[in-house]
Amino acid sequence: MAHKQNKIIKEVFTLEITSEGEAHKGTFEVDKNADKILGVAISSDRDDIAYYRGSQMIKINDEEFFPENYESKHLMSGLNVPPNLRYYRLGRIDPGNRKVEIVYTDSGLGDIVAFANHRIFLYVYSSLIVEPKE
Amino acid sequence: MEKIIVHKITITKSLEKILFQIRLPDNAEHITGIATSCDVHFINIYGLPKIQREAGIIRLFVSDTGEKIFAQQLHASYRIESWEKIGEYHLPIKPFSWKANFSLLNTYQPVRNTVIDGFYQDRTGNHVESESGYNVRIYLRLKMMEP
Repeated sequence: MAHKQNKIIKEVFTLEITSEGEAHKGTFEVDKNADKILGVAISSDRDDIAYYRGSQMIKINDEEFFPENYESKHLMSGLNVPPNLRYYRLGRIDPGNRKVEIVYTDSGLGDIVAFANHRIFLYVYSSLIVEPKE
Repeated sequence: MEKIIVHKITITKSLEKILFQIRLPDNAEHITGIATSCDVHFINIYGLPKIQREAGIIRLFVSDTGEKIFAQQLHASYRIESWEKIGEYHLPIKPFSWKANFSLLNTYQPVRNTVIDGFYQDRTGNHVESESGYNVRIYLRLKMMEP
């Protein structure tokens, strides 16, 4: 569910990762009230697995912003990072067809952290369409 | 307009040497950033000092001329809990601004040939924690021609 505050829409999309060494694809749609997409972030309920094993491709409006093999750890941030800075700023992107596509791949090189079923959370931040004052 | 491409190579043997090629898009104008990353980790024995260990050496060349454009000694890190690592980690604000086990070269290398040759030599010896191998990733940030 989108949460709107201070004219920024924060949306969370969840991807279930159930098999090791394979790609998992998810397509989501950003809020219809989104004017521009500001940034994205990645998180997980098993952040050790996402950190050491995960990589993903992210497309917004059919344009590839993060290519295949782009490591998930570069889109994650820690608790000591101020909350307002915990996302990757993309600039102000036109949402176009509002489709956000993620293809998450588990590396399958499993000696660092063993695989377990987990969920990947893709956060998308967008600015709200401001209604013109009459 | 900027584009990032990632090339991944997988190392499975100790002291392995790999030649690889990275194909750039035809409309790439300049390479504006080169970064490398490897996910090799060493066993952290409690009480022993954490010294930096070498993972390997990577070199990138322009394909036809053989001109070297990048050389880097990659280092492995000790495995620590991810929340601890993320806690000391980066702000995900700009590409190639990360710290810790991720090195950056800002450059402005014109693209005259769309093929980059690469050479990687593993230097981990027998100290690698992983038995199934590890990945080395090369991130190239490209300035593209305006359409």
